[in-house]
Amino acid sequence: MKRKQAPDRTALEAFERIYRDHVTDVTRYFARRCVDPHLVADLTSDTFVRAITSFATFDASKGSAKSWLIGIARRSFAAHLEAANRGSELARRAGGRRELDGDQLDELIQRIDAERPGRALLAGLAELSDVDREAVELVDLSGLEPREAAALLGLRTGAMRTRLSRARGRLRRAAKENPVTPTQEAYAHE
Amino acid sequence: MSKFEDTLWADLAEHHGADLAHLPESLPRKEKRTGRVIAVAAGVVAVAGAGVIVGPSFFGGSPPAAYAVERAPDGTVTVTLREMLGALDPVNAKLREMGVPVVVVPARPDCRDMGQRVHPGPPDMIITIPVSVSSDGFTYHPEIPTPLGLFVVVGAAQYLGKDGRTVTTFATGGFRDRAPSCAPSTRDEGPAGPQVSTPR
Repeated sequence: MKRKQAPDRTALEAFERIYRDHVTDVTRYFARRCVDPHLVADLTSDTFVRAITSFATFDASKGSAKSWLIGIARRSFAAHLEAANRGSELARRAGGRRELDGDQLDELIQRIDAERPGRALLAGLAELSDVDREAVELVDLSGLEPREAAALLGLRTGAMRTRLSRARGRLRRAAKENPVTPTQEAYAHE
Repeated sequence: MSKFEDTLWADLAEHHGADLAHLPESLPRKEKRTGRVIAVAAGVVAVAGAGVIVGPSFFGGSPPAAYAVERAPDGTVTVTLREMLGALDPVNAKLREMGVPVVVVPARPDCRDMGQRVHPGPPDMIITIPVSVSSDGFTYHPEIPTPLGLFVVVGAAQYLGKDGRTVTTFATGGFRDRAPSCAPSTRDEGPAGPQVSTPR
């Protein structure tokens, strides 16, 4: 039987600090995409399992921990969509769903509810390309620096700024015509 | 952190802690904390040095105060909260005295309507709520105008983590034309927030 290696306490503490600082960012990222609290829980868990098992590859000189985690969250969500398209996601979740008690369900439902403006904002950008929509989300909703978002999307920083400007302009025009949420109002008054 | 987040961490540490055999080379062993946390800690030291700690000590000797409210030269007001017990009322009183239109409430089960916030108001969003939160407290940014009729609320929760350390979490929110039911200032002295206008 394989014996478990003792964790490096320093590494565990460092990862715990990153977890505590950014778990809300990751949960919110999924709460903008899913209204099922169980799915938000599973995707958040999946992201941090991927993160903790690849922590040795994290390079703080290349970007913030938040940017690193959001990048992993994007890949987790993409994997979820791919599995869902194959029809295998339902079976996987039926067998491996994370258990949540009533308190945890309430917390996640509140988090999902709180992200309603963010979901409405993304819905308002439905006519944009996937990249432009993600540019707005990563910078304006997830709080990444444009250069960090550019790195995640494989763009040059200048191209990212152009896309952001174009998308924000479009959102501004839409918000002025029909502001629905406080977030959209914020754009309308920019 | 929330119960979900705390439970998830316990599971990660138990089932995947052994995967953390090495600290990434980009994280020096002498700097285990992230830059943001170091910055917060430095801020706390600066507060103490400036002699603006207003909270009483609950620990005896010369420990850190339970809370601190400090106005910086740029006008921002930072609240540092280490111990919630007995601290929220004096913190709210100090905020009112300083003219800060924010009220701090305990995010607890009997404050269920915290979930009915009209706006999540996170620090990293394009926000209309002029508050950003950290792991130690929150900062009010007066340069960001508070929408008329919006009560700005910071919910604070504190509990003992599985590692025995006290964990405090903060969340911001806005309430249209009313503060949440558990906001102490609404019961006794009127809202600490801006003057309430008719709904838009």
